[in-house]
Amino acid sequence: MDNHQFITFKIDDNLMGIEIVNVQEINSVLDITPVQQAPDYVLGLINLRGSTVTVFDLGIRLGLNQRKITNESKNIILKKETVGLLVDQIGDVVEARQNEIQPPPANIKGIKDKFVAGIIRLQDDLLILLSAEKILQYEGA
Amino acid sequence: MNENYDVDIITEFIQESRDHLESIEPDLLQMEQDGSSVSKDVINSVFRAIHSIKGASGFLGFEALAELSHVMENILMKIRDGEMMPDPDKIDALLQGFDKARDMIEDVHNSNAMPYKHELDKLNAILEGRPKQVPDTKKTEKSSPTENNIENDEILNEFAKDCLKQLQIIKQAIEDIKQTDIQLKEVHDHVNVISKKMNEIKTGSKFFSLDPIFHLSDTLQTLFNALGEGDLYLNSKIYNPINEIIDKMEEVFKNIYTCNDISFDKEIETLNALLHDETSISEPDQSQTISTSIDTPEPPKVEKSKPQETIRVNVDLIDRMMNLAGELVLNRNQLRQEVEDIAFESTKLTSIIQNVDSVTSEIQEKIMQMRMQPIGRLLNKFTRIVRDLSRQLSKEVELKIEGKDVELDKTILEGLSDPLTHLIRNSMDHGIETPDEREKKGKPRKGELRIKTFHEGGQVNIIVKDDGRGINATKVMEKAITNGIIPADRANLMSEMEKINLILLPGMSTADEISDISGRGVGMDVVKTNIEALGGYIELESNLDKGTSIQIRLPLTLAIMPSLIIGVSGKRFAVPQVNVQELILIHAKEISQKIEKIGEAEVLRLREKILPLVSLSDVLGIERTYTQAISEERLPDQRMHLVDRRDTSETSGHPETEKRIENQPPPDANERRVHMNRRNSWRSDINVVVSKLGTQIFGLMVDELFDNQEIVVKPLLNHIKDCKCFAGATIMGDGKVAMILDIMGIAEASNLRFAEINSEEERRKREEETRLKADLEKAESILLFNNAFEEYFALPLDRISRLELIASDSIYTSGNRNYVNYRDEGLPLIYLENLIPIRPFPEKLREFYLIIPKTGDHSFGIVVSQILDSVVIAVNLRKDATTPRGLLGTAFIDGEFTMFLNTDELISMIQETYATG
Repeated sequence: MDNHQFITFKIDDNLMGIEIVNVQEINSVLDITPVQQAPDYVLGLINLRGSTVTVFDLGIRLGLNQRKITNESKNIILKKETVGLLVDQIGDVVEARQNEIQPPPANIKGIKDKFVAGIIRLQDDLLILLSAEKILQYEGA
Repeated sequence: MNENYDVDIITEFIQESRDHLESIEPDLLQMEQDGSSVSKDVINSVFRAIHSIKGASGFLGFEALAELSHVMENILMKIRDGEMMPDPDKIDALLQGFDKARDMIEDVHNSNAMPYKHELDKLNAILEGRPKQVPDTKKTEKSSPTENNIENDEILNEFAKDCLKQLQIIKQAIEDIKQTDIQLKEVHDHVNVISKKMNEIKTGSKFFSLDPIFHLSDTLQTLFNALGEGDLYLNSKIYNPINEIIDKMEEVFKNIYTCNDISFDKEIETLNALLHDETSISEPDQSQTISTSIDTPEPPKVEKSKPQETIRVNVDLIDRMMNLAGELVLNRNQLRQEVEDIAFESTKLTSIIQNVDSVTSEIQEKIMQMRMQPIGRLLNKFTRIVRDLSRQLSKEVELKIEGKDVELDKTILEGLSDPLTHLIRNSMDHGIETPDEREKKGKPRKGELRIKTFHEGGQVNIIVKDDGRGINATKVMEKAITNGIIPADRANLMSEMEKINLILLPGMSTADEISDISGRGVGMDVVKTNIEALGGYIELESNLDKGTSIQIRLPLTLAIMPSLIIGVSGKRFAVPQVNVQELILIHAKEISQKIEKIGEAEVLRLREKILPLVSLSDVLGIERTYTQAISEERLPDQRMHLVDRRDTSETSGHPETEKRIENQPPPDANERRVHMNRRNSWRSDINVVVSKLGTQIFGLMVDELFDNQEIVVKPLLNHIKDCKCFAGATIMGDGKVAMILDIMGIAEASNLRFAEINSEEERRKREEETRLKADLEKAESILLFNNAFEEYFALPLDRISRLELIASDSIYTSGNRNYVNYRDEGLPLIYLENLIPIRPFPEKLREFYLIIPKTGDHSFGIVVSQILDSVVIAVNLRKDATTPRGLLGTAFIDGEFTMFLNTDELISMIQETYATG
């Protein structure tokens, strides 16, 4: 039970991770229908095998810049609610023990604090762990 | 001890009992209404229902429920036997009893702990109120309440004792059948009793796992059913073995604990032999009979007349299938689109696709049908509510229900219960007056409440109508102003109907006093919200002292929505068909005539009405684009308003041309012409979706109209639910997601000023009226006549002194002048064709008319061939340089070109001819 697995991905130069148990799949369905007057981080809806999935621009959601869609762009589809997170690039799966996860320092690189669940210090990088739950949470208009 | 039983059996029991209770209530009300003349069938139906509940609950150990139903059964028995009249008090007690029974069934595991003394006492009081003997006192012990934590043995003993009693009754009934000498009707009744008793034994033995008894009683029941249907006759050949078997059963029940060691195989064999020997009835094979009738203590009569077989299916399963069907439709659409091109070449593929198409549609339709339920299920409960409220409020109300068979999706039906109840209560409480009050108003003492359901245009309409005091529109309006819901100046512009419909807004409750039943200020707005949540609309109409009519329109189902697909700036959206009233195409060249501006708002003139216009792209914040006529590329449209003329700004230079000038060599002549013509290109045509929102309509301007489609509604994530303009999303045939528009949200978002538009409309109407009135004042009386028959002439009546009929032979000619003898004087005649360039007077007329105009000193007579009519009309005379002398002018009257004579000129002309001639 001690081991956690994280899917890692890039938002600009930041290496981030989401616990794998929260992820349904990763795809590159990027035919997004915009939703007018939705919050800025809502890119729109995609058709995922007959269901609609709401895609968030994870950059804006976290308080960073808007994503640019490239060949490497991917959607991380979360479980529970049908939400996809648009990220720049998908990385490896990182495994970590509970004791390797450190509490988040205040204010990392302009990312809104509440989305950060913790950090893992890798050999040459810092993995920022995001809270899927907080990302899904709607703050209201 | 009830938890010892199989969960399935208890679930089954609850479902069965619910069904029974549902059927009981209308029957009871029917009994009350019909009094002593009530049909036996109705009583029997209630009786059977409560009996089944009693039986099953007794065995399952729900003693409280069993006791309650037992007492009710006894009362019903007395009513059936004519020992009691089903008067309102008794029905009251019974209804309350059934309500309690329903509570118990809904929470069956705690039912024994529920207080039910009050209901029981009331029922017992009724029962004991009669000195006559209770026919089945021998049964009362059966389901008397026992301790909750009773030992299994004790229950079993109880059961055995009970079965012995049932067997006694059965034996008696068999005896009776023998006596009645095969009179089918009575035999039937007796057999019913036997079958029921047997069923109780059967059900009980199943629960106690007394398999031999279960099988035996089951076979016996089958046999008796055959008897009841007249397939078998009870002769001694059958009678004797049955009696023996029943005796044997008695033995077993007396020593219940040895029961499982006994085998009834031989007896069952005998019975089966009897069954098949004597008859040709084809019973289903044994195992099937068991599986279908184990947990269904239904009376045999039902089995007999079973028209269709039904099974119970979990609603979740149907919901899941519904979703799957939706996805299937989606995939079908995608498939169709994908193979469309290839399919042309292969007829085989075409036919396969068509098959897939029709099968998919049918699957979807059938699954939808599975969810459909008749609205009668819901409406029936209002009979009870109306009855109870009438008693409570001392009002006399008759409820009429029409269209019980109309079917609605289960979800909608469920969501409809609360709002409809609210409306009924409102009508009862505020709408319908007390009998005395009604009498004073000259209405019948008994009020009428009508619920009518019908299909119309793919929607279900429900109308709740009362003949009560109606809604006072002014009062509602004042209240709305006082409560700050609408500003006074706007309210004054509202139509009567709009004022009444204000009652649907939050914070409106006009009841003078708050009552138990309704009037807490959270009424109609909740109804409205509920109805709208179901995708429906509600609208009120009311006449003071005449009554109120509330119309609700609902979609048939929620999951699939017939929609119109539209396009704006290359993006597609779905508009629910319920919101679409009509589609209007405005040609580019008509735009300036049909669309105008009132204040800042653009409006469309549509058949005497003014529709506020909303540009969908503006509301949604999408850049308005247009397709460039030559290059077909989309360019941003810079016009603020469609009526803004492009060509006028052309000279002053608008952003586009300026840009072009900056970036490119000056546009060649051709391009400029195209640009100028943009207003007249078909690409600049405007499509208007006339959208309706209850009483209000507005025009939604879109770029393109596509087809109507049945779309599958996908819910929105809460993050985008705040965008009020969307009701959901759907996936189109090409796999792309399209948003479903929420017309109400769009109306709100675009801040439509209906009141302002309405006042403009009013103003125009008034203007039109004053214009008409002025015209009327200008109108004069004129006489219409012919000279040549095909030419029409007119003279104002006030210019005419006399009109005479003259015989042709009374004309005298002197020189070039013609006279008639008029009052012993020679009256000179004017032939019009001599003075004005017109066709000549018809020849050979034996009679003609003379018009003698009012003139000064000289009298003349104008010769005319026939007088047509005299009319009062406002004439717009046309006179210009080409109008010949002698005419006032010309006009069209009743579609005929008519010349108005100028008598003064004519006279001077004739005098001139005299002078010259």
